[in-house]
Amino acid sequence: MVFIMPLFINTRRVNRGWQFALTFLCWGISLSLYAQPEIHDVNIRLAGQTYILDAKINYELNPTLLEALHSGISLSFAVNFQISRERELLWDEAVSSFSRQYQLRYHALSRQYLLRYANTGLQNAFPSLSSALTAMGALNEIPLIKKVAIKANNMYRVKLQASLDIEALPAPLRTVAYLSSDWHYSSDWYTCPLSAQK
Amino acid sequence: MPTISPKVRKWLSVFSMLGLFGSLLLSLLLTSDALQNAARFEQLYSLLLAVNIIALITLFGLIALNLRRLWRQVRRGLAGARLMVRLVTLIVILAVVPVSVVYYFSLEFLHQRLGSWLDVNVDQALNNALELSRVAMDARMREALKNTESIAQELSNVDPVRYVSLLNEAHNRTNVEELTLLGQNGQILAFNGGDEMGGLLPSHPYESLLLQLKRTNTYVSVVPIKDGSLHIRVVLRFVHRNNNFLFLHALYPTPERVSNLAAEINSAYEIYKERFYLRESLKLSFTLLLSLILLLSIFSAVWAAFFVARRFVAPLSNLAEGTRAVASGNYDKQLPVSQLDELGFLVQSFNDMTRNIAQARDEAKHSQQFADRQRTYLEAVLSRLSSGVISLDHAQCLRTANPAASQILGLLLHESVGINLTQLQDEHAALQPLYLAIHNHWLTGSQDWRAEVVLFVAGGRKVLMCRGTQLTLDDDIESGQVIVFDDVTALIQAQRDAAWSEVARRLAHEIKNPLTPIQLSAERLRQKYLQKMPEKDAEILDRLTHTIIQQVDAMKEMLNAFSDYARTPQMRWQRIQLNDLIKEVLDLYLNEQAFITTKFDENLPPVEVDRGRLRQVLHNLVKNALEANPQDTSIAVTTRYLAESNFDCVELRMQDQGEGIPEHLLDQIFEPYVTTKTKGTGLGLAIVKKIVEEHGGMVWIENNPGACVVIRLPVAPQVAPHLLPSPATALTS
Repeated sequence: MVFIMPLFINTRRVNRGWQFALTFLCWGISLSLYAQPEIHDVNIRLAGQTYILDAKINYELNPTLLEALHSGISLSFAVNFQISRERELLWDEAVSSFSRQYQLRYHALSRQYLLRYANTGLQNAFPSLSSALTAMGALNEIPLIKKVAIKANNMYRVKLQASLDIEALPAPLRTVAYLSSDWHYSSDWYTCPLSAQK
Repeated sequence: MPTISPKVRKWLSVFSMLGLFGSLLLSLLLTSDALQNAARFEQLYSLLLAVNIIALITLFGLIALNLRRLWRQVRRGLAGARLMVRLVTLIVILAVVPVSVVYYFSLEFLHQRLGSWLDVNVDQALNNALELSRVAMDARMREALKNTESIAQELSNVDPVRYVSLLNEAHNRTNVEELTLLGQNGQILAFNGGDEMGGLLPSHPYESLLLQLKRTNTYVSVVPIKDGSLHIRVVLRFVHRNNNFLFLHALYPTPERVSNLAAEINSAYEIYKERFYLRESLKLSFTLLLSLILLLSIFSAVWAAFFVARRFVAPLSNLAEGTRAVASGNYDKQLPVSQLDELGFLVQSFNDMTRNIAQARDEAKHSQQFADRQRTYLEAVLSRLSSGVISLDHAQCLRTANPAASQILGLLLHESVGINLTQLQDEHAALQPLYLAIHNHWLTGSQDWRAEVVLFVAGGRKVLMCRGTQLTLDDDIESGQVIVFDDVTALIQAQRDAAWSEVARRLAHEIKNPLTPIQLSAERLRQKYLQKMPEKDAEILDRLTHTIIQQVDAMKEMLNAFSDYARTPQMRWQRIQLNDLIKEVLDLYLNEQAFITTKFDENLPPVEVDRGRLRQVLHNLVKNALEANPQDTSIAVTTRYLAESNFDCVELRMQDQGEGIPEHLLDQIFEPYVTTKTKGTGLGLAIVKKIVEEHGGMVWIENNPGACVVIRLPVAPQVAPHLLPSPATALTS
């Protein structure tokens, strides 16, 4: 499968331009042989005055990432959310976008996997990688958007994607990461419709 | 848009390129800094790298453009292009070779030394230290497990309502920091936690951990807390007395000293592991960075080579261009002197040279203009001269002729410049007398000569006073002759008229005055003595006095005629048809016993004459013709138009039937008092000749076998006659 990094990698818009450029540099040579994150069981519902999302993401790290993790490299993951309004003739109007950041690292002394929620600063320790990945992949009650922002008679799309943030890697590794398909760890964009609920 | 001068543009280019190189260098420095974990630039690493690569590609593009331009210049053979190629090549080689050597050894150093820094012994030592930390922790973990088990033992025997108080007791009794009792499904039954954990919320073991405990009953582990300190987590599964499975989760702090040391060991271990892992990437990154620096150096060198070469070659190109300009005649070319070195001196010398050449050219031009002005002035003077001036070269070819010469000779002499005089004479037969005069003196080699030449050219008969001078110049080819001639026809005429007038005046004074007393005396003798004298004497007296009176009358008449001849009346020029005038005169002789035949040319052009004077000419001629042979008074009058090469004229011929003029008198017949008749004053033909010459015409007599008087009169000019100089007007004025 030819791997093409999507335009929206994360919300740091400042970096988007050069990331785009670098992406194009390695476009075409990046062939991923390993599994990518998979998004499933996405459910959007109205809770009070807010639409919330539940979803699960299966993370399965390839040997390159595992080796890096066990070598003390901290891996950053981001789940990007985009909400857009459908329009008939024009392209979709971007309504909102945000991301959830996670940082996974291995603690050698305790042999624990530490998962840090970058948005809240909370950190949890897991005895196994699978438990840490499961915890990272469980998106529970993620507030998407206020109820008032979703207008009746309009159709909206909620798109989400999980990916490894190459820019958070140590500087020497980034060059390799951009050039190697093993480091392009990213799910496809998962799209689900959203309409006003009562 | 304001135009930028080349100098400003050049410095702009230099500064922009220096700025670009400086920025690139700074960017590479930052990149290098970022690679070495400088926190402030790490975020910018990829951006810097991308910027560097793009900038280098741009630089490469610029250099490629420069190369392309140079290649075109070489192909077009532009001055200095090949020299520039050599210079650029030389500078690039000089720059690239050392830089490449440094690059090679830097890479070697990087690849060989970097590996050895990460020593295997250090790796092992760190592993051992980590293991030691774990061992140190194990004792505390066992103690924690034992403590937790005793609490669980207590909890298994109490009612659920006492869970909280028991946990409080346990917390107060032991060094446990947090205790949480969970039910079979993971729900919290009781909790006791200290502030050290950062709040009232219990730490919740995860589902996977609880699932794991269903198989093993105990779980003990060291866990790092987010502030970096290490804690011991114990989770137990035990059976309550009412047969329910419960989970007890306990967190024990480790002594600060131990915790810090273990955390430091862990941190050092992780850093070492990370570096070890990153070494290949680091090598690659440094190689990339070094390559970028190499490329920057090479590109800088190439660009600098272009800049230096262009600066060096520019004066030479300018010189070549300047030389071409001078070769094509542009002596005002001045080259910019931008340097004060030998090249600058060369350019300055070139500028001096072109300036001198331009100055010399200007002087030559001024001299030429001066000479032209002088020549024009001389031509103007010559053209205003009334004398004709012609010059001949050594081969007797016409070199110059002034307008007066053309006018006098009735030729467009300037069209004949370069033509040999012999050829000119062949084309214009009327010029023969002049030619002969020049040619004869040429043959004799006389330095200065004078001659009077009579020509019959446009404007009629002309008497020219010629003066020739030999021109002897240094160059034989330049030598020749200058002939100056004046039309003295009018002058001679005037002189002759003046002479005749003087003669007439003297005759009147000396001869005519005594005649009246002689006549009166004779008449008085006759009156007084004729009656008194005897008849025989009276007859003699009568005859003698009669003779005296008659002869005195005749003498008076002769004197009057002579006076008429000498008199020069005011000429009244008129443009007439000669045929009409002849008819008018001949009509007067119709009553006499004259048989006149006429043959007129109907296409006769008009002539410019004094009607009265010409009528007198005709009367004289008709009278002579009638008197030539009283037996045969037939006269033939013909007119015709003669167009010769240089003289258009009207010819009148009057043929009588007389005996003609004796040969010996033919040359003198027009002189006064030369006559073949017994009667007459002898002035008739002299008057005819005088009047004809006053009209610029010619007259002669041919014996055919009777006398045939031929008169040729010039055709009236196209322009008004008073605007043309003529002998008659000159005379009268």
